[in-house]
Amino acid sequence: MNSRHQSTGERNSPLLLFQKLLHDRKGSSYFDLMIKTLVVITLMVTVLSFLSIFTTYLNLNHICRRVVRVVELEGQVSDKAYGVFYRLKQQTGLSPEMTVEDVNYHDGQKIQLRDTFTITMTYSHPFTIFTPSFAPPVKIMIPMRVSITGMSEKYWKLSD
Amino acid sequence: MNKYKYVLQNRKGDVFIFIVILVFFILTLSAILIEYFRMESLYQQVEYVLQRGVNASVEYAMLDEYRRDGHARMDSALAEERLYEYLHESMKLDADLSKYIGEEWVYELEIKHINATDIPPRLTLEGALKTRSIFSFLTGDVRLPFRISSVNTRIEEGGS
Repeated sequence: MNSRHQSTGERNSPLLLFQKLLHDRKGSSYFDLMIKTLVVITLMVTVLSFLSIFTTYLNLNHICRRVVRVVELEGQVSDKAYGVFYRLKQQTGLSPEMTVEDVNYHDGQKIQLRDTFTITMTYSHPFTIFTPSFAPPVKIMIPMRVSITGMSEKYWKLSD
Repeated sequence: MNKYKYVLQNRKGDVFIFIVILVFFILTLSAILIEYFRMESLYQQVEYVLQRGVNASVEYAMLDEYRRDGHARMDSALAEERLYEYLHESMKLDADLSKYIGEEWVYELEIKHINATDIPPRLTLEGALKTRSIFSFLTGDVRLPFRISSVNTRIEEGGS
């Protein structure tokens, strides 16, 4: 047989060594563990980065709820409501736009007792997919919208 | 008899039984948690809406002629009347104080006690929220008690 007469140099050639390494099952668990750990870490990082979207949505909801409560107690879209809105914007780092809808104003900006109104907040959350070192970060804008309906708790004595 | 003994002592397929029990346990636990948070959310929502109604009733029933003289006095009968009006018109409850969404029954308010006082102007609503859970076949209807109070307090000096 020809194989029996192979020289030492042929037996130790890089190709054969690589083939031998691939077929050798020694230490395979180690590589298995490494790949699994890498997959788990990648998954965890992905999940954690998606959490920021939910946090932003919860913050937006919180801002809207607080502003609605102030308008309910004040019975008007007053400076206090805008003050709370701007303070919460600073605290959360978001910059949503606020609109007041479905409302009947009386005597300016007054909302009569038990009249309903809806406050809508819209915001576009920039979600970074990845940040390459040689280019600006790749982002997608996720539009968010929160609408909460409130009811005035202030009785206004209006002139007829 | 021997057949049952044989089945009980046979360890073949025990992993399958174990997985079935585990899946059942996980599903039951998930159902309990989801149901708990659903009912908690419903309770919070109803409590919030009731508080708003009680506040609005007190606000509406305040007597202006006394307020001018620096006293805080409320028409308690009017406050109660406004509260029931709120329950039916704003909360859309029917004559039995039941809430339906479409054809589906959601909850019922069981009012035990309404206490309204002229001086101090206070309205207190006590009762329970009756609702159903997916475990109603075991526990029956669930009653969540509430006590909601609103008082109009003068913050300026006045009166004789």
